[in-house]
Formats: sequence, C-alpha cells, structure tokens
Amino acid sequence: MLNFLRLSSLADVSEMLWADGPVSALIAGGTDLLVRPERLASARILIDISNLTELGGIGVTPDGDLRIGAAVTHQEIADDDTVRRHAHLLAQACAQVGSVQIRNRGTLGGNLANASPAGDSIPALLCLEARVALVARERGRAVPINEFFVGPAKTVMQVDELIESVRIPLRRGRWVSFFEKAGQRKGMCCSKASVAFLAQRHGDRRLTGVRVALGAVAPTAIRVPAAEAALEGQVLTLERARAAAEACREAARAIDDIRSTRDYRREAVSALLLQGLLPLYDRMRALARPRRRSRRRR
Amino acid sequence: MKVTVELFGPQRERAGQGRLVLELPAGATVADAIRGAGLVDRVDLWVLVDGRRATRDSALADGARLTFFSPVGGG
Amino acid sequence: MDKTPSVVGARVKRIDAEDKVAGRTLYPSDKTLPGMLWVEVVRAAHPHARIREIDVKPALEVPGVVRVLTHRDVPGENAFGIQIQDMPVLCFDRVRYLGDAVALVGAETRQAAREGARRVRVDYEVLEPITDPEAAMAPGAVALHPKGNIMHQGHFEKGDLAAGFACCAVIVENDYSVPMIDHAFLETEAGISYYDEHGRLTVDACGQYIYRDQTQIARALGLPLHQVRVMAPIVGGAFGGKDEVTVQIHLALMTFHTQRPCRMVATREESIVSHTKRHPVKMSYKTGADRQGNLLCVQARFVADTGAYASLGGPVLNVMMEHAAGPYRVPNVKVDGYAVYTNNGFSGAFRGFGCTQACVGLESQMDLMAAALRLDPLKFREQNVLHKGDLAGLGYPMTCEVGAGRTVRSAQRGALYRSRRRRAPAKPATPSLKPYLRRGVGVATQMQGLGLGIGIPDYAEVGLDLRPDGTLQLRAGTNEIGQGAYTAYLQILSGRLGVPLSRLSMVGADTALTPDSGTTTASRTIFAVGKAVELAAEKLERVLGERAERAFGWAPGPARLQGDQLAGSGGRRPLRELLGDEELSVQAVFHVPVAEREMGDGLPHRFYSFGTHVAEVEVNTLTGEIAVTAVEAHLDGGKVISRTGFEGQSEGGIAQGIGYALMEEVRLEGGRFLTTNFHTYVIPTSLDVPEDLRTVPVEVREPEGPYGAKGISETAMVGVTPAVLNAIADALGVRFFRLPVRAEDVLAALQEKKT
Ligand SMILES: Cc1cc2nc3c(=O)[nH]c(=O)nc-3n(C[C@H](O)[C@H](O)[C@H](O)COP(=O)(O)OP(=O)(O)OC[C@H]3O[C@@H](n4cnc5c(N)ncnc54)[C@H](O)[C@@H]3O)c2cc1C
Repeated sequence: MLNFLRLSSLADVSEMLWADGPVSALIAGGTDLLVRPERLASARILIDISNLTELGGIGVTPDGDLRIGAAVTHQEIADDDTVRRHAHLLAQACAQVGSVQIRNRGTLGGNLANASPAGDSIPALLCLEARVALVARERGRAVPINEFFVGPAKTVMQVDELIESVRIPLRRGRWVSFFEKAGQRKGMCCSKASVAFLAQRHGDRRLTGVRVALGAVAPTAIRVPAAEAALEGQVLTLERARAAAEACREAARAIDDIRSTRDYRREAVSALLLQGLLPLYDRMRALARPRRRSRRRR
Repeated sequence: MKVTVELFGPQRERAGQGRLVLELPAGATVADAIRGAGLVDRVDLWVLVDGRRATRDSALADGARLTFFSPVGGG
Repeated sequence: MDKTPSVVGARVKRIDAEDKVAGRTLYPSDKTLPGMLWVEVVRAAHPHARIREIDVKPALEVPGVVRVLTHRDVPGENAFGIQIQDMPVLCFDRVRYLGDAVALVGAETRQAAREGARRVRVDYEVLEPITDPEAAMAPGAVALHPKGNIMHQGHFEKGDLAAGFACCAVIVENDYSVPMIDHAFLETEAGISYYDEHGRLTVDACGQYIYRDQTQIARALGLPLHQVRVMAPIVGGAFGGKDEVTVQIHLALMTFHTQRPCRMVATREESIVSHTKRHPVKMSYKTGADRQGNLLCVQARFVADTGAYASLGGPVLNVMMEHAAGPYRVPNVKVDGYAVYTNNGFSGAFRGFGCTQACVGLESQMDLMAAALRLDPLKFREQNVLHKGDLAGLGYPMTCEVGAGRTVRSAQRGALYRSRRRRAPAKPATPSLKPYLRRGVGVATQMQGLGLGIGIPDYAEVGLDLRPDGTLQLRAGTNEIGQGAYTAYLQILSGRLGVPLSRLSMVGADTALTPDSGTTTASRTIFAVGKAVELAAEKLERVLGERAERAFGWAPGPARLQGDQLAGSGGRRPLRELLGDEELSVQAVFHVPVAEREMGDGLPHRFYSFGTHVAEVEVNTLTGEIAVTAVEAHLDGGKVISRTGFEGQSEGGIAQGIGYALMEEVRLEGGRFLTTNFHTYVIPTSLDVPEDLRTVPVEVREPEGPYGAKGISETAMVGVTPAVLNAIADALGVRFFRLPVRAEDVLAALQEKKT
C-alpha cells in the first residue's frame, strides 16, 4: 500500500522526513521515480513536493546568488530570462533534457537527487560552481556541487534532507557557454556523453575562467582541469581546441554499458567539446575582423 | 452424388494427394466428406464449400467443390 | 477515362478517429469485467532447461490466488503454433526460451496474481543455451526439437551461376548481418475472456486473425470450434507481432477452469521477452553484372535464427528467398536458406516478412555494383528491373502489373535524387560552421509479395447488411490495428454503391458476427478484403434488382440505392416498400488468384507492390551521429484508396525503417534479454524522423484488386533501411554491413579509414 501525500509547507515535509525518512520518498516531477518501480517498491509514503512554493521560483538573492527552486522544471529554466542572463549554460543544458513532456514535469531538484552520471544539468552546474541548498527539520546547509555527488545514484544527502534550491554565484563580464550531448537518438534520450563549457570572453579574444565538465563518462559528472588549462588565458585556436578535446578524452573514465561503449564515450566527449568550440572559434575570429570582411567570409 | 475435394498443406500430406473425387450419398454433409476422404477429423481441418467456410453439418450438393486445409500460412 | 468516384483516393477522416482522439475507444487492455480474475504467467527462469518438478502449493497459499494451472490442466493438445505446433501452451518437460510459459496464476487482484506467480516453484535442470545458429546447425548439436535444429531450409537454382559469373565484369561479394528487432507496438498483449450469453468461451484479446486464433484455442482446449468465440476489432498495434497466439489460449484456459471472466495485460518487459521478433539473419551475397550493367548473377545464402519455436519462421524464410533477387531480371540465381532453432527468443512475422532482411543485403550490393561500373545507382536499377512477363528471381513469370520501373523513374524525377551531388549539407543556416557534417543520398528499390502466396487458400469473405432506411453495415473479420483499413473498406463500398460514407458503418473481427476475411497481415486487406467488399456491393445491387423485378415488375438489371430510395429501370421507389422492416444481407467471397506453380509453402506470390525510396542523411564525423534529413517514397500500391491511410503507412514505415537502420536491436546474452523496455530498446522518436517526408503514389493499377488497388503496408517500410544505408555510404565513402549503424560504428569505421 502506497500513500500519496501532498503537504502545504516545507516545514511539514521536513517533519515527515524526520519521522518517516526511511519509508518515504519525495516525488517532484516523477519522471525518474515513476519509471523505476524498484525504487517505489520500498516506499510506503510518497510525498509530493511539486506544489511547494518554498521550492519554486527563480530570482536573485540579496547576497548576490541566482536562486533556482528545486521544484522548478527544466522547461521553466530553459525559458527564464534571469537564468539566461546569469547562467545561460544551465538554460542550454535544461533545454536539451528529454522531450517537451519530460521538461515540463522534470525538475532541477529531481535531476540532482537522482544523481545519474548522465544527468544533463549537472555538468552545467559544475561549470557554474553552483551550491546545493539542503534543508532538514531544523538545519540547513549549502553543499558545493562538486562535493554533492558521491557516486552513481549517491549523494551526500541524509534521509531527512531535501534539496531546497540551487544557488549560482552571479558573474560579471561577457561569458560564452555551450552544452553538447550525444545520445542514441534525438528525442527522449539519455546522454551517452555530454560536455558543458563556460568561459569569459575578452576584447582581445582571450578566454579566462574556463570551465569544462563532462557527463556520463565517470561515476559522477567531472570537471576537466587539463582541458581548462589548455584554454585558460589564451586566444582560442584550433590547436588549443584540439588539445582541450584530447584532455577530455584522457579524463573520461567511461564504461561499457547497454547504451554505449567506453571507447565511444571517450571519443564523444572530445568530439563534443570540439563541436562546441568550432563555432565559437569562428565567431571569435569574425569578431576580431572588420565587419565588412567578416561578412564576405560569412 | 459426386463432389471434388482439393487438399492443401498438412491435409494433403495426410491424404497423400492433392485432389479427390468423392462419391457420397444424397444428403451427405461436410463431416461425411471428411470421412470419405479417409481423414481423421480435427478442429484445425478447415473446409470451404464452393469457396466459403463451412461447418461440419453443412449439407453438400452434387458437384460441390470442397477445399480441405489448415490455417498454417501467414505473411 | 477515369470514372473513379471522388471518395476513392480521397483524404477522408478515419471512421475511428474521433473515438480514438477522445479516448472513447476501448482497446483490449482497457477492458474489464465484473468478478474477473487477473491472470499472470510464470515464465521460464532459464533460456534452456529441463523441468524436473513444478510445485504450485506455495502460490495457492497467497491470499487472493484462486487457481494455478500447469500443463496437467491443458485438456486438449498442449501445443500451438501457426505452422507447426511445436510450442507448448504450458511447458511440461523443457523450456526453450525465457518467454516460455510454465504456469498460470489466476487471482482476485493483479498483486495477488503476481505474488502467486513469484511463488510457483519450478525445479530446473539448467542446460547450456544454444545461441549460435551456425553451431546449432552443425552435426552433433543438441537438438531443441525432435526433427533437429534446422526448422526449415530451401534451395533454389536458376540458370548457370558459374557460366554467369564468368561473363561478369564486376562481382561483389559480402556478408551482412541484421539484428533481432521488436515490433514495439504500443499496446502490449492483452485481453479478457468470459462465457458469453450463449455459453461460448469468448476471448476478446489482441490478435491478427480471429478465425485462426479460434482454432488454436479450440485445439488446445479440446473444444469444438462453435464453442469458442474470438473477437479483436481494435488492436493497439501489431506489425506481425500479434500474428501468433499470445494471451488468447491462456485466457481461455483460466476461464475454462474457473468459469470466471479473466483479464491479462502483459508488462512491457514480459511482452518483449515473450512475443515473436524479426529474425536476426546472417546473409552472404555474391552478385555480378556485365560491363553494360546487366545484372547476371545473384547468389545468396541466409541463416535465419528462428529461436525456440517455429511460428511463421518457415514462411518468413521462404519470402526471404523469394525476394533474394529483388525486383530484378537476373538470369542466374542460387539461393540457399536455413531457419534454425536456438534459445534466442523466437522469431516470426514482422512487417516485410523476410523481404526486409534480404532487401538490406541486395540493395547494398546493387549500389556497390553500380559504383564499380560507374553507373548511376537508379539508372542501374532501372536497367535491370522486372517488367510484366519477365521471370522473377526464382524463375516464375511475373503475371501481375509491375510498377518497379515506374517507381524508379518517379524517384529519378524527384527533387531529392536530383540534389544528390550537392555534397555539403544544405540545411544548416551557417554551413561554414559545420565542416564536419557530411551529406549523402541513397536509394533502394524493392518489391513485396501481397497476401499468403500459393499453398493454402487466401480468401476474404465479407457480409453486407442493408437496412430499410438505406443505411448499410459492412461486416469483415479483419482487425483494425491502426492501419485504417476499415475506413478504406467503407470508401470502396461508398464508391461502388454511390452511398455517402455517413450512411455506412462497420462491424469488425468477431467470429460470432463477421465472416472469415482472412489474416490482417501480408499487405493483403485492402486488396483481398477490399475486393470482397466490391463483390458484395455488386451482389447487393444484383439482388435488389432481382427483388425489384419480382416485386415491382422492373426490367431485369441491378438496382441502385439513392438515400432511402431504390432506383432502377422502373424509376424510384422507397426501399421500405421492398424490404418492409427486414434487413437484406448478402455475403461475398474473394479468392486471391495464385501463381501457376507452387515452389514451397506460400511460394511464390502472384501479386507484388513495388517501391523506390530515396533517403538523405547527414553524418556528423566528429560524434558519429547520423541524422536522416529527408526521405522520398515512390510507392506503387496500385490505385490509392485512402490517400491519408497511404501516407500514414508510408510515414510510419519510414520511421520504422530508420529505427532498423540506425538504432533498434534486441540484445541477448546467453539467451537472456538485455533490452526489455523502451529505456534500453531504443526506437525513433518524432525528432528522429525527418520533417521532410514525401510520399509519391505511383499508381499502376492492378486489375484484380478493388479499383486497381494493391497493398502498401510492407513496401512502405522495407526499402527505407537500405536507402538509409546507401545514403550513409554515399556520405562517408564507408559502407556498413551490419545493422544497426550506430554512432559507435561510424567513429570506429572512420578511424579505421584514417589509419
Ligand atoms: C523519457 C525520459 C527522458 C529523460 N531524459 C533526460 C535527459 O535527457 N537528461 C536528464 O538529465 N534526465 C533525463 N531524464 C530523467 C529525469 O527526467 C530528470 O532526471 C528529471 O530532472 C527528474 O526530475 P523529477 O522532478 O521528475 O524527479 P522525480 O522523479 O520526482 O524524483 C527523482 C528522485 O529525486 C528525488 N527528489 C526529487 N526532488 C527532490 C528534492 N527537492 N530533494 C530531494 N530529493 C528529491 C525523488 O525522491 C527521487 O528519488 C529523462 C527521463 C525520462 C523518463
């Protein structure tokens, strides 16, 4: 027998979790939970948190963070102007989750709590150096995203904790970013490999603050310091792009599974980084040229 | 009366030939024709009489064309 | 002059559209009955094992479990199978694949039934699974069935192959491998069973041929046919996957023993494990042509893994061999085929029915030969296509209308093929930014036999009831599986009688109500049932004329319906004056004409549809991903009856063909399934199907069909896969011989090419 509960406040949910944590499961969009009956099997209480106002909303906090509520859906993130302004990379990643239906239901909190190595928001949040705000009955803490995941489907969350929001530090300057994924098909598809990229672009065409993160090629999403170093403080050239791509290949600790192979995933992260960097390279070269010439070169 | 029987697939194998002419008493039915052909009646022996599915008690007329087969094909 | 009435060939709204869109249509999985039991199947725990003992007691202890059935409870023959009854209803001594049913649990709730099924204890002696068909064929292999592991084989020879190859300027020889794939119908196997008001054991469950299912049920239960009623008017997809019996006998058996209504609905996992699949096939093709581009030789060998049981594996192999040389004139042909038992699931009917696999091999060979001869791929095909009167691959004459050449010429004129030499991707707005994309265009031409072929009678009977108010009801025994045939039947009826669609209705697939219209398979229903509809309409007018002659003294001749009036030589009279309050019913049967000479079960066909597909792909050479960006289908299905249905079949076929080419594969390891749901068994989504789809009807009328129509449902899919393969080869200069072609394969091949 499974009980479905919808509570009116976060405090009530916390109370429930504190009392019944081991036998209760949170459900937000349900897009992960409902397709995994084995996880539902152990639960006796299903607590719906999708309606909690405390877990909704997107805004800038007084201490200068972009705050995205845990129950905000991928589609809301992809469409939101504030996110696009301050954390465009996350909007880019969320826009590529699943399909329209999945994006309309699936939430950011669910994506993180699910802790799939292939979760698409995660590489983006790694680049954006986000923090995960957790709450329990009488305590709260903010865990840096790179410390949040312990392994596939494992996080540092305690049974009575839940994700309240994600906090992303605001940035100044002009930033470029992309999220690229490879899957078995175009829609409704779990990433075989993904790459998130973020960097600050300067007038002299140098890139700084370069962040590169990979999904689906290690037990958790990973940053690739060697790829970042290959580009940091430099003007983007094809050789540097290739060196960074090579570093991604090296960093990938992928496995063979039903969706793909270790070799392909290693190849794919390098390819995806290049695929994202090539247009950037073109764009930056075009920017550096006088308008007229650049137009003739298309 | 005389009826002709065309046989297909397993029925042809069982009867050992593809065409039979049977001499049956007036008022004979499909069941009689099956016996007349020396076949054991089975539920998967289908019979057409003049091209249409018939039941075991369908009465036969002189000159009737019977078809014995089993639904063993597809596509 | 074309006198086709406008309703024929038109885009009409499907008669089932509104109910389906509104969710009112009840599919077999939606149906429930008061007091029913849920039935769950205990399936084999091993792909190959001997059963030592079955202990049902623990299951009976589960609260809510009412009955557990084993092989001891099968009152008739404990065997089924369309062609050979080699499959136990409930296994007794041995299990041969993971879908094998060992016991049935009937319970008050689904949970109890599941729990009961978990508790049935089966003691197995585990045996080594046989998973390699070549090894299974080898002498000394453990036999899965009494007659050995070669379930069926065929050998055909025409001309003189050695002499033919000696005259060839190019000879191309390759091995191909195509995977096992699943039909991925939306509705899993489901249905209900009960005793109807006449005491008939009734099964209302998904299927593709109610009359054959009725026989299979009756045989297993030891009942006479008239005590079994089967219905299945609306089915949530099948593609051949519900041709063999699935839940029907199990449902009937539980109702028989408990006297209670029963219900079954398979989970997706159970469905994928248990129903038939498309045969995985290893093929070898050696083909040759002379310098002028005349195809001289086709030599093919097929080893089809038919899995644990026969089902339609024999006829599938036959059709594969029949189509080994495709729609081409080839003087020297040798074909050898084997369908082999293994413990890899079990395979049977699937859209294309063997033709699909052969076409992948042959159409790849056609492109390779054209390239070696420096000929345009379509010109090469056009030069070699069959014409009416030519001898087909296996040596029998083509006596039907043959539109193969016209589909090729239609494709040549099409925009997609003419754009072929444009190398760079045309679509992206900023082409210079994506130098790593490669574009390619590929073609494939194909023919597909219609109906059951020669060997058993292929007929369709329908009933037509005229009510005194002038409305009509058509009764046909085929199923509505989503293809839209019921609408097309009524279009034919409307066309022939001149009665608007709004006055026509349809009763489908119920052995108690509808005549035997044959199988809902083999691209046959428009052709065979549609023709019977035409005959019924003619007969009705004839009978009306005769009765009007007697009743009103009209001159002899057919009478026509005009609303609720009857029109004839004597003017117009209200229909009611003739019929009173009675309905007038007529029946008509059409027998599909067959070839002159039989060459094997179902071999050959007399009628074929033809098609040429053109596909465009974009291959990402960085990630290896392949996108199909456009497809044109030039299809000869004779006269198009329903334009909407025709395009629907084509577009669905394109999606399915893309799936076969690029992503679908049922993966097994040691006889165990690795891909048991749509999470791991990946099929195309709407985003994987190009927006740029064009279906061009090439209407070569077949005089034997209704209005000159033939079927299209398989031709619409079969050519798509090789066209995509050929497009990939065109894009990359690298050819793939194994399906599906995944990004992994593309990158590996590109790397190999580099080194
Ligand atoms: C067809 C399909 C396609 C998909 N494609 C993608 C894809 O492309 N990329 C991708 O990344 N994912 C994909 N997913 C996975 C899924 O949609 C995402 O992970 C989504 O973000 C999950 O969010 P949810 O709200 O639906 O989670 P739910 O299913 O509601 O919950 C998932 C888990 O998170 C827990 N949880 C939820 N909210 C919280 C919270 N606030 N605090 C603590 N725990 C919480 C739940 O208890 C549960 O264990 C796909 C899923 C499907 C079914």
